[in-house]
Amino acid sequence: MDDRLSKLAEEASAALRDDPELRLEVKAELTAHLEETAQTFAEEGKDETESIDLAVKAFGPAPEVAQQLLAANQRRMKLRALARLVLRAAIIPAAVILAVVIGYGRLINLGNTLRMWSMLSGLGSESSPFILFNLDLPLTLSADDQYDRLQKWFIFSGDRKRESRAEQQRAIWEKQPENTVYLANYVSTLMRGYFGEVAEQDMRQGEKLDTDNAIYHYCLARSMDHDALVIMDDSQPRANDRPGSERMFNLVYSLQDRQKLDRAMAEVRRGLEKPFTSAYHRQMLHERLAVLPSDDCFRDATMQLLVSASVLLPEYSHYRQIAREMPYYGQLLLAEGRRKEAEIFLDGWQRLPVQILNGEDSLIGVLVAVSCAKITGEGAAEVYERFGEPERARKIRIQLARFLKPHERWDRWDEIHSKDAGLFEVVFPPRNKPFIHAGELTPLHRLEYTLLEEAVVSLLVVFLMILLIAQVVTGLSWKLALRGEDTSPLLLLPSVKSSLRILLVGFLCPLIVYLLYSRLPVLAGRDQSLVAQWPRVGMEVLLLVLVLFVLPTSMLVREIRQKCFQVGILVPATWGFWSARMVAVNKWLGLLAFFLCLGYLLLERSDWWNNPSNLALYGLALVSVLIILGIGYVLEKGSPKIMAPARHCGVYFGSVARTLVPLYAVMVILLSGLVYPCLVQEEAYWIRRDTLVFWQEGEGSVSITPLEARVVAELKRQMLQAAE
Amino acid sequence: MPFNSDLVGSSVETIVLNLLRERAMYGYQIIKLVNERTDGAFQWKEGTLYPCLHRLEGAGAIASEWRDGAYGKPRKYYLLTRKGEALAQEKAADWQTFSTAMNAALYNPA
Repeated sequence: MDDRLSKLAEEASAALRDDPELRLEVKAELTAHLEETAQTFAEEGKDETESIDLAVKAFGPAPEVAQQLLAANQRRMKLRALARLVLRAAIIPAAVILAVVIGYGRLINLGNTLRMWSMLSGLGSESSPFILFNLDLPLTLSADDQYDRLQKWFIFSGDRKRESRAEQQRAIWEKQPENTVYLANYVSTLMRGYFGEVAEQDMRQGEKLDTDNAIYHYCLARSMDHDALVIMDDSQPRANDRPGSERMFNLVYSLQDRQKLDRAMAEVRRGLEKPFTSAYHRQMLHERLAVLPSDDCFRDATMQLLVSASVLLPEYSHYRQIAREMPYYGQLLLAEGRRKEAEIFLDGWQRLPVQILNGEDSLIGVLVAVSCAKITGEGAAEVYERFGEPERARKIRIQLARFLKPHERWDRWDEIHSKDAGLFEVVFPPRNKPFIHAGELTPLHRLEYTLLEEAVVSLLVVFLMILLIAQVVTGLSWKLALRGEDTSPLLLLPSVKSSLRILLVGFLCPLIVYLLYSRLPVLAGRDQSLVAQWPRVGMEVLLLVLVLFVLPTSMLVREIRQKCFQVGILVPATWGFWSARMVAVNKWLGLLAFFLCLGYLLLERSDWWNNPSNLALYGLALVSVLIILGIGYVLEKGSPKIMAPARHCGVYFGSVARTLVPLYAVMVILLSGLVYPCLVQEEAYWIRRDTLVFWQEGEGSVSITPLEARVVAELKRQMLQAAE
Repeated sequence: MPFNSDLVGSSVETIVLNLLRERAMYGYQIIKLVNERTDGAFQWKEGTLYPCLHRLEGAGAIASEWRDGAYGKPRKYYLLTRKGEALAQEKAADWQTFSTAMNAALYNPA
């Protein structure tokens, strides 16, 4: 193009400089016009210079044209300036801020969900009974102030100012001294090993208030006997036995203080007369669950599950200890000729397990009852054999076998396969297959997919938020780099029609196709567990994420590219564009990874460093990131062929970055405001449909899960029937 | 033959709108067509046409879109909108009435 034509077009459009996009467009239009005029003259036989002279002459005086164009566009320019001002000053910043806030919210939410999963997976670990005390309870709180928080969580933690946990829990009872549930809860905490703090007065108060419950006697007995009789495993060499110790029932008994033992066993004897022993875990659980949020969402439902597990998996070792003492003490009494008293502990072997069954509702309670029955029954039979009464021993063994039969039968039952059970297997009781009916696993399987999709949407939102921030920074950096030049990066928003096309074809259509595909069991097979389907589901989800990111981005970039080409903004060749983009993306991702590594390094607990393999892996990750950044730097600085287009096409790159910002903001808002709420609704739906893991409103949790309640109810029914 | 600028100015919009009723065109095409049809009587310049096109576009009577033109260069084509269609008919009818009246006044002596 001849410089004179370009200059003329520049002059003619100069009056429109307040609207850079319009000026560029008018300049391009006039340039094309002038070129075609010159071309026509050339076709008529004029030489190039003459053709251009004639075209310039035909155009007329440029300042006059400029004034006429300004007058014609004045109204439009005012409206466009207003729209730009609103977009720049209000809508786009608001959308960006909203997108960042939403993205941050999704990140926190994702962290909480993952935390719930990890806590749920830890249910089988030894520390599970103490989950309740390790929970970061404010996690589930919203805007309650500090005072309300303390009031709200009092039912969990008691008075946290007190030193011992038992004392803290005692504070709950102190508020309502007539409440036997609170008292039993306090007693239960005492039995976790804080015997030194036992106040006999409190136990006596319990006896008066709760006359049918044996727990107060057993608690007192444990407080008295823990240094009266030492019971150890008989696996140690005999040479290590204390003087006077006795080996029986696969244990080593070492009597330390007979008087104390007599007092403790007197309490046990009184306890054995009561119909049940219970710390009222279930009732306490109901009160505690009432405090927790009860929306039908995974986080709240899992929190309830975790709290149930904490409350219903208490320490039961004191029952086993008493069970070990009973036959030993019976033998002592028999040897002393106190047969009648001895028979209470020997013939009454079934009393303790039955009391536990009557008072407890969890599977662990049933298993403790079984364990106690084995110890007391087998022990009593052995004692009678020692004292020459084999017939009595045989009768006890027959009774014991009958009592244990339901448990033995249950122990032979199958478990549902891990692949079928899915991610919720961690909360399934063992030997569960006969208790799970056809189709009952489907809601849990569908819930797994919904949770996965929620996590993916959250990650995508966070990813878009990071990209959005990167685009804002890129746009600004190009604006600064091109300071003083004629044109700076533009916000080249596509027309309403194009915007709708991009959102519909690039964003909503892939989502709708995915939803239709994934929600049809015939196609996606989502009635099966995620564990069984993960390679396929992983690919599907990855493809969706790629499409949702790449398609709208490439459609918009194409629009911008076309627009830039039309208005005469220098556009790089496709290869140059992508290589420059790749270098930029590499730089951003590398920097992000570097700062994440650095953040992790600074925030991680010190004990993490004690593991050499952690250190090696971490070092490797950090070095890899530095290498990637280094390659990017070398490419950027050392290869002008690759980076040349970037340097010459700053307006284009800046315009792409600026124009992508509103697209990513809209995508974040749509994903969080439209897609995520739909998934949350779906999550609630599948939680409501579940009959195995989550308790439904109004059902009232009996065991940790409904499935466990089925197992427990059946075992209890059969064992209590056998005991009659 | 150069006409009085007021006379030309009042007729440009009518001509542009009615030309665009035929098909979408870009600026140079319009100027060329007008010159051809008037046998050079209307020698429109860029300063006449483009302000008119932009004014009409601002008023929503016409819309524009970039298309690839001859020699592979993009050209800005103008199309008539629904509003422009009505305006074109109205202006053509006005011109018809005006020209009939003008002719009657000038060439039909009482």
